[in-house]
Amino acid sequence: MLRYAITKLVLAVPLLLGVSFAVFVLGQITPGDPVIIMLGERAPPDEATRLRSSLGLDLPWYQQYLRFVASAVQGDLGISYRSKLPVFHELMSRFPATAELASAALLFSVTLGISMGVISAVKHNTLIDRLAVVVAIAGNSMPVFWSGLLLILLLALTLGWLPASGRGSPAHLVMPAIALGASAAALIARITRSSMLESLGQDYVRTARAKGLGEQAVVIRHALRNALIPVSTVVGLEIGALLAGAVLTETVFAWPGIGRLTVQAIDQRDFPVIRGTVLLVATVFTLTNLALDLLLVKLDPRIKYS
Amino acid sequence: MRSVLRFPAALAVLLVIAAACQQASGPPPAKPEAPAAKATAAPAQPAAAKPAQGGNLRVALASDVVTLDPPMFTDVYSNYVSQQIHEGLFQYDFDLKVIPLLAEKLDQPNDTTYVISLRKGIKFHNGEELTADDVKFTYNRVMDPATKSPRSWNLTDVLESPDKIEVLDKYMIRITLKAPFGPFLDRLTNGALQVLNKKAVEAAGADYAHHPVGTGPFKYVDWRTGEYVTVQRNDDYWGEKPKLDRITFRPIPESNTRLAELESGGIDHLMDIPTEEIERLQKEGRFQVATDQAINIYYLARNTQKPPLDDPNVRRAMNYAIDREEIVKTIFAGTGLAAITPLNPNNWAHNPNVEAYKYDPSKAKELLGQSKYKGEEIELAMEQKPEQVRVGERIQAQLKENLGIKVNLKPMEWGAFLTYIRSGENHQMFQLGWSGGPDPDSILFPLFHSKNWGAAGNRAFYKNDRVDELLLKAQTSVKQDDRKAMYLEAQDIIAKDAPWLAIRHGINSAAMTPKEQGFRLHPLNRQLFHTVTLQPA
Amino acid sequence: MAVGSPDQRGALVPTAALSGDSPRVTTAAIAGHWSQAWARLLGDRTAMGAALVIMGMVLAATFAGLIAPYDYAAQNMNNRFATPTAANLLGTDQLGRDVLSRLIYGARVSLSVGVISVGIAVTFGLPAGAIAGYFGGKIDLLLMWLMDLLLAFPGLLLAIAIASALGPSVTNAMIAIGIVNVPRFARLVRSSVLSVRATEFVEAARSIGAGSARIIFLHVLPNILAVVIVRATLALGGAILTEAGLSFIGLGAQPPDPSWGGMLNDGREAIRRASHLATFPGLCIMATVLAFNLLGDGLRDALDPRMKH
Repeated sequence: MLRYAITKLVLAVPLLLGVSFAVFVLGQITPGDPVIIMLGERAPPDEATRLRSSLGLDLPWYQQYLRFVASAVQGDLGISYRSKLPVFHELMSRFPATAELASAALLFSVTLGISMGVISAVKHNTLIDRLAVVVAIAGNSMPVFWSGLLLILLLALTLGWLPASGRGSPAHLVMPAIALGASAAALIARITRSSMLESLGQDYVRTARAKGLGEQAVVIRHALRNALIPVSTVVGLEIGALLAGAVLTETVFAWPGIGRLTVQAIDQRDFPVIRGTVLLVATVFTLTNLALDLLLVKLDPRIKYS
Repeated sequence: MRSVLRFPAALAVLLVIAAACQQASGPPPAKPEAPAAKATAAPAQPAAAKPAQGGNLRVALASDVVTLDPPMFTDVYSNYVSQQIHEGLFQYDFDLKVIPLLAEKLDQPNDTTYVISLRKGIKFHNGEELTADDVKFTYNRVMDPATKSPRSWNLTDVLESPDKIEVLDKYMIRITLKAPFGPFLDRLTNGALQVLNKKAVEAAGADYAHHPVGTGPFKYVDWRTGEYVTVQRNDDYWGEKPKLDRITFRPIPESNTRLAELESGGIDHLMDIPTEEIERLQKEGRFQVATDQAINIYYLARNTQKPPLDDPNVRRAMNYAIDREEIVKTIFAGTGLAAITPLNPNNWAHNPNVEAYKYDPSKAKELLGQSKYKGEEIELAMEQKPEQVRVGERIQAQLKENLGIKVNLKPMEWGAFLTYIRSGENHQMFQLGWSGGPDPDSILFPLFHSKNWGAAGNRAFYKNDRVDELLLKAQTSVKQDDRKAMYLEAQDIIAKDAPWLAIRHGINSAAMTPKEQGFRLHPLNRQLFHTVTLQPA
Repeated sequence: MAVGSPDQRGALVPTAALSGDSPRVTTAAIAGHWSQAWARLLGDRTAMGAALVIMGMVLAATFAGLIAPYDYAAQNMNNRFATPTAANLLGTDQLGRDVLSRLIYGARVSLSVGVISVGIAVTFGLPAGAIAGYFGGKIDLLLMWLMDLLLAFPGLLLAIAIASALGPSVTNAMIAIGIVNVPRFARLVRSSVLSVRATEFVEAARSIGAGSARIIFLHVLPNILAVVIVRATLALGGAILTEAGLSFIGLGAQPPDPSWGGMLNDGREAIRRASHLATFPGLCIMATVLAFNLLGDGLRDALDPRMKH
């Protein structure tokens, strides 16, 4: 298993290099000059030239890339064009907020998703089942900037139960977590439902019933356990989706995380920040999935390494 | 079973990372006020008719504060917050007259020399007294290439070198320009030239952006990136002391969210309300809505170097075919003023007699017939903002209906848009706004002088030798009457040549909780809170 | 059946068409398998309902010119923000344009974004996954490394980046969304192919000397097709949502051409004054995504009868 882990880690390096290169290239081909954007409507040409060279933007692109990689491996992700702060500092001051939001959304989606999936499977083909499926999918079929806005208008404005935006207390976390986690909840609910249905039809469940075990014990202790294996696979992929979806959620709810930072950075063509963010997210995603892979291998005896 | 551990495992991984970063970035966030908390009020003063003292005013910003170091400003929100902390030598009052602020007296022994005496006894927030050394240090720093200030042109344009700023004595400074420059005082009111304390900047180094020290009515307290910036009352302020205890500025990017916060009590003060909402809020009457005329111009411009837009008759025909009054009345809900020239009507150089291009479809057709237009399709680019796209769609429809011209709309993301219209190679028509100051030079010179082609401001690539001459002469003259005559003539020529259709002078607006009293909108959208009081609930 | 390495996690999503039964070899058997599935699908009322809704959308999109009561770009500045009336069944927008007509034309954009972007994803993802899964070794390593690269980018950000780089337009939005979805399909197909490859009949086919291409086409593909169809149907809904997300950033369909995502985005600005401008496109998006999801579910149930008792 150690060999597996090391192989994966080693493979991660060219992966991150590839990601950083891709971001760099995308930055080069995207129209939009950070210097002109910084100077705004009135950009005298001398000023523009000076600024450009002070930011190192007049160097050929491969030189800029090499500079970036050289400093990145030493932990220096460069300086934001806009705020003149180190990119690493900008990211680290905001990442906890995004992690908090993503965790809350994950918790919400897993709890809601599994419960709905189980209920739906147990009451298979009844009205409750159909309703649950529709509700689950409905949660998945609204763009988050829309569902987020509706939540704010309902829960904060009309009912006044929760603060409309920002971060600070657990109450602030509720709406953003729901908005962000809704689509993952829907997916988890449906997958739980189908794999529960599958495992409920298995022999060992019939055996358990025949042995006289109570229905609840059958459902939870036997069928659910096996049903959760496929569900857990989805969770790993969903972390990536949550981190990505956080971009829109953070904007709607004024959540001070890296998603919002990224949107602003893209607007401003603040390349150091964009590169730093993508690298950070890619790293988190890769490491998280590696950790989950290792855990999964440890936990599920059917899985071997290729 | 054990695979169930996967979920807590996922959570644990995320939380561990979050905790690690938390350690790396510092102490956990201080909890800002819960939305239902009432503004705290100190006990009312015993003297009769004294306004309420104290309170924390919560102000929403549309975007994050980027830096609190004035020469590095690239957005307005940083300036709005910085204005509470820093001050400049001069400022514009509510009637748009230049008044001395940190300065006390101004002498102009000749056209190129300004001798400024500072007020005595003004203290910075760190206790240091304001002296001429601080002013020289501030201005030199703005000009210094090592500072990399995007606003250095304000001074480097007109000063030969930093040595031309001389300290004459403790409270007196002399500035000698390269050549006479009418708009110089206007430049000195610029946010980028707010005066800093030499000791504080040298001590803070690169950190100054997060630890500003100024002379203003409020002192910097705290800045939690992306969440809030807090300032508190400066009890040693040299001028009219503020009544509020604190102001908290919160960035909230989504305008619907900002409004929801105001209406649910999470925010007290909102600047720049969407035009659609002004009417609704005024009708509902629960919140105070203030509006006033701003100094800006929203316009449609054409690349005058690209056929068929190089033919003035084509441009004039288009101007007659577009009903700008209707656009202001409908898309902008009647707010703002339909414009006939880039200068606001209350500008001392405004020319009310220029050709106004009042909506006249038949005249439009006539002019188009006389032009060299042969049915080409024309592209109209604008920033991808709903209001601007609506204006573009209206223009597209009217040009089609009245002149049979097919217009292709090209809404673009801001960065791409700015880059697209800078070189003159690609773009044809575009919509853009321009915020200037009360000095006509800050509007007309960058927009219409031929040496400013491209990103410097003149994106219509307009060139008229007489206009060039007039604008330059007006810039180097210091007599207002002379300058006025020149600007009047320039506007006249520009209107006839019609590189532009001036559309609208916009407004400044604010929405406030009824508890907030004493706020007054400034035409330049200076955010002045030192007269504001917050009544107890 | 050995599930294999964690890299095949994509296969553990229960599209159970793969686990267990050895798929049958002969063409006739394959055809019979499909016709049984078809019969099951027709009997599933929810799925049929969903299919009808989708059909309705497609018809509306195709015959928009005949069905729409007004020109979608016709402005009427005297009738802005109208609430639903007899003249304008769903009201009018900020420029007095008829909302119903714009919704009908908008169906074109939204549906084509869905179809074309998923089409791109399948066109590139399916061969990539099949080749990687079937041949294994270095090709597999390289292809999956490429897929991991794409996956490591947060989806929306990648779509924004690509669309920004290519320029704002519906076509580029489709390309961006398509590219973002390629790795998902590639991974899914690869896992399925790996499972099929391990079964005896492929061994058998190889032992009698059948070439790789023949094996892939006759045996491997038909069996993974079910998985791909289901996933594609589900992905269609997601693509429509991503287009809405791109409009939020300003990178979707360009005015005055309507798209549901664009209308939803524009409607947000006026939500307090005229909520119908956002509600109706929002409902259309919801209904379509719901329909695609229910249809996908139905397809999966039909293609693998063991799910229903």
